[in-house]
Amino acid sequence: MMNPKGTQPEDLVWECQACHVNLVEGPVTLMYMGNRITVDLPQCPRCGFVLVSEAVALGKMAEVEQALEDK
Amino acid sequence: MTAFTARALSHVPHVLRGITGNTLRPGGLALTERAADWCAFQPGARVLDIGCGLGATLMYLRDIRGCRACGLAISAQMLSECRGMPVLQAAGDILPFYDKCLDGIFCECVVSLLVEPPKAFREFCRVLRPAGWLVLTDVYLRNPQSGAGDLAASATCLSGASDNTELMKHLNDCGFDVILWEDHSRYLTELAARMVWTLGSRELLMQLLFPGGCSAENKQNMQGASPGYGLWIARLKGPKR
Amino acid sequence: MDQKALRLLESRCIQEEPPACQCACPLHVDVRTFSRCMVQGLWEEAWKTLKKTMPFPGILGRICDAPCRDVCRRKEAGDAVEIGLLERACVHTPAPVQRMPVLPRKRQRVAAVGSALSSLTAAWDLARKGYNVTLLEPSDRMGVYLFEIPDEVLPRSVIETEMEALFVLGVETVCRFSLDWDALEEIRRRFDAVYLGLDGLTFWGECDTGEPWPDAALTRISGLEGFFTGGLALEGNSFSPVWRSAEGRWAATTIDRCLQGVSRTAGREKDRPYSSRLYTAMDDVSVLPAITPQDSVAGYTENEAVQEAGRCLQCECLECVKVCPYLKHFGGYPRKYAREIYNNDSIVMGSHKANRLINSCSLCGLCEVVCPENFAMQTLCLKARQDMVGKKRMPPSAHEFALMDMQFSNSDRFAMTRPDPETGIASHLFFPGCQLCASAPEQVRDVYAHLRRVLPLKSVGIMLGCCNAPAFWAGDDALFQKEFSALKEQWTALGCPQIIPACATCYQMFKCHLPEADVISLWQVLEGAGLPAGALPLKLSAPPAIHDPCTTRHEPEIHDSVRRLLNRLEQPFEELKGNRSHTACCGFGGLMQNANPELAGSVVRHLAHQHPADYVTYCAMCRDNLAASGKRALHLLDMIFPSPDEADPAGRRRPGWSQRRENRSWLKNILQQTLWKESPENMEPYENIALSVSPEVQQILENRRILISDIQRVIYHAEDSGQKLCHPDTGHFKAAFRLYNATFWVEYSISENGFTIHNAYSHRMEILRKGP
Repeated sequence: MMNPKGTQPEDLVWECQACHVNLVEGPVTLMYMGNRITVDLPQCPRCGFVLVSEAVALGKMAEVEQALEDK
Repeated sequence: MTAFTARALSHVPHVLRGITGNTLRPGGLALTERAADWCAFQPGARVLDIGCGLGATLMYLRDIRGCRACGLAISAQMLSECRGMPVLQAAGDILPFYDKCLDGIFCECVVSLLVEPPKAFREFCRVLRPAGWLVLTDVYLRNPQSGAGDLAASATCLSGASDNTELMKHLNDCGFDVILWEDHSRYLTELAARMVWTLGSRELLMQLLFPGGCSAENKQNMQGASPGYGLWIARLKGPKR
Repeated sequence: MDQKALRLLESRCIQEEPPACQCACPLHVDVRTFSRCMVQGLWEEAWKTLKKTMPFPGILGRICDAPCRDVCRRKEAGDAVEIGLLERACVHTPAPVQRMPVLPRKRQRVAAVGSALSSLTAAWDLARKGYNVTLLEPSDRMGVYLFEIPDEVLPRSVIETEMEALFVLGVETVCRFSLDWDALEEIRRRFDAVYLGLDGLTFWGECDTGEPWPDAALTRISGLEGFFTGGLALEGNSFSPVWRSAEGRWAATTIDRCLQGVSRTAGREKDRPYSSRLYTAMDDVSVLPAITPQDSVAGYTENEAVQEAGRCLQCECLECVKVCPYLKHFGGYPRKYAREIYNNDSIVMGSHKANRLINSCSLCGLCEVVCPENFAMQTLCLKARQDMVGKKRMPPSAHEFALMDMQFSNSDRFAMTRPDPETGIASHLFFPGCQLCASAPEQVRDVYAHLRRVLPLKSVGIMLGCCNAPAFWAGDDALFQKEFSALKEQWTALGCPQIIPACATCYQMFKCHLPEADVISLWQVLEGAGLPAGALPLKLSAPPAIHDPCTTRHEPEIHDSVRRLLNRLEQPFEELKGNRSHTACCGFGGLMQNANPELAGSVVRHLAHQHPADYVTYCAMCRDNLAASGKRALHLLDMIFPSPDEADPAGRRRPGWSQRRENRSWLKNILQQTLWKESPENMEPYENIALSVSPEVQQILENRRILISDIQRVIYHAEDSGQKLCHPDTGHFKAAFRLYNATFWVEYSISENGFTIHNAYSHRMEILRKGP
């Protein structure tokens, strides 16, 4: 299953309740088992709250988790 | 998952470019910066970047550190990528330079691509000034005794990776003192993780690295040999400044 | 584990041992592979298999006396496989063109006297090792006695073709060599070593070659320096062509070693025939007699050969793999796994592909019971887990859910230790275990009441909590020691009462880690103290089959006790093929279900398919796992303490992960209120959040192991901090909260009396706010 992007148009429809703005795509650092990678994910431009969609969490993120566990 | 090398990566620049910010190698510019600091290259220093790729190191050495840096690329296509910077097309083991004319050589993720690294090292020796610097970053096998013998024959993408002891010995035999060696395998791991992220699955990464498919045996050899990533800083033996 | 320990361990898995036939063959022909090729009609491959170890297969293949038949396991179910006839059939087909590897030429010269099979073999082996070999034949024809064999058995053309191969290797030949003392002196001077092939010489009786060396059977060293002998095959049938040939081979090996100046005998234990350690079960093998060739002169037709080769049992062990879906799943056998696990451990950094192998074992110990050499995969895996945890390399995904469940059970929400409510003393301590309480809390309450009634002195205490097996199984020794010593402290504070566990795993944990305690299973106690009045056999359409939990494997008293209880209930039952010491795991043991849920699913189905009847078992986890797989399953307590509300206990669904926690808390509260008149503990504020969850979403939560309490905490955090996302079209909210080592996401909306849950998922990667 090709999963080309961490941000889908429908993710940017979500609005941050605290800041009342729409999410935008931007860089964010993810960490697991001592390794860090920087990727682009939807987030609130004000407070930085990051959305991990179901497709990302169960798709590419789960794959990266397993890849790092096998290290 | 760290199981790929510069050779495999050199086939897939379209995926890598986005990930590594035009450096086409694990760690991006972090190791370049570390090495340039260590060697304390001054503005005006003559530095050659062998296998300059898309010119990221070159740009850093020229624009940030003010070195008189020059690049070397083996393919005309790569050459055309580094417009506006001095880049020569030549092989790493026949350098178009006078004897003892360079202060330093960067050789990032290139040695594993060379058929005969000692030959290139002797050539570096020739063109470096006494006590000149050689900076290497590359993949290496952390567990060379485990299946590595079969690896050279079987998994082509790893065939260039050598083990640390062997590389150190070559450098020493060719006239270098290895001043610094550091393991930076985390960069390789993180690059692999980043590629899995971009591609979407581990399976697709394997397909990319082994376009013809990877046998279970190759996979096991590869995992057994445990590819890692390292930084070597060596200095030409001889009279000190 | 070091290399030495690995070797020792590897040697205990005999799957890679060569089969008896190959061991018995003086030339160690790979008879099993040969037969396999023959049965598939792969003549060329069969040829090549012979050629690997057999010199002159064209000759030997026609006259081989097949000593392997004496040890063939097929004899136990029919006749030995007719390998000799199969070889003949094979070498009647055209020989494949194949280059034999030859080592670079050496300077040394070796003479082989005589030109019968042993000399020819010695010459062949030595020439391939690069020596300059000369064959010295006293008569006027090379290979003389081979030509005496009837032409229909061994055609002359075949002898000539095979001998041709020697000349291609550069072997020189001298005929009419006069064999006397002077000539021997002469060749001893001219050659570096001399082989006397006694099968082709009439020399032995006339000449004293001195006392043989003690190990001469192998080395073929004679008493005369530089001379080596063989070919009489005194140990085998003295006319045995393969023995004769092999003696030439053993001499050639010694000659090579002497000329290279290395040990003559080191590492040659298996040159000569030896007995195989390979075990092969014969239980399911039906008797088949040997195929007799229609034409006894021409031998087998191709068809006959295929049939006869099909009788070969292809001997292998795999006793453990046959009974364990886990061992089967990873495509190998313990010997291979031991090496993979060793490699996994010895790699400091790098790929740890065996993690899954290590963490998927149920630690049930069935492999050890069925293994002829008692190889214990569970010991290996548990040790590897402990090493991984020690080196901080255990991925949190492997066991975290179970360890969190254990933490819950050991928290105030469930854990409780009390003496008898009436007398305040405890001579007995009922330990129902966390999973029985999670599955059937009412029954636990009833059992406790019954025990207090029937045991003397009104001094039965109760301890709610987890026996900490999950920490032990996860290899987290530090956590296990910490939690278990807390448990021990409470037990000591009660005056070290006799412990009565209901669960077999708890029983084992106490028995192994609290050896000073008097531990007796609930079943033995009930057997002695008597059953309640309401105990009833169940109205099932057929007698249920009894499944013994894997943690009772070595507890025959418990097995017997449970069966006697069933008899007393007048409940007829069936036995499974894999019962008592041979019982199979339900997939929960060793936290298999956590580390590898798919495999655990196939393990429980494997167990469920052993018998068509409903199962009755006496472990709550076995019952629930079987029920979740769709198998109708009862707990023994369903008969002893039948619930009036449960018309069909065998069809009862497995309570979900959240329900299991609630059941435990319910039990604690009800015991506190009714027996000790205590009010329940304070609830966490998030627990007051009311949720509405549809059955579909409930199933998603169950599959993803997301608890209701996880969701409550996400919503509590979101509503408290205001940090949530809102969807403008649906009005749904989405919020996240990091618990343990995972981030939980919930999509919800606010409804009249609480929150409606639309979706939930989790991931383990942590988000570091703000990219660089």
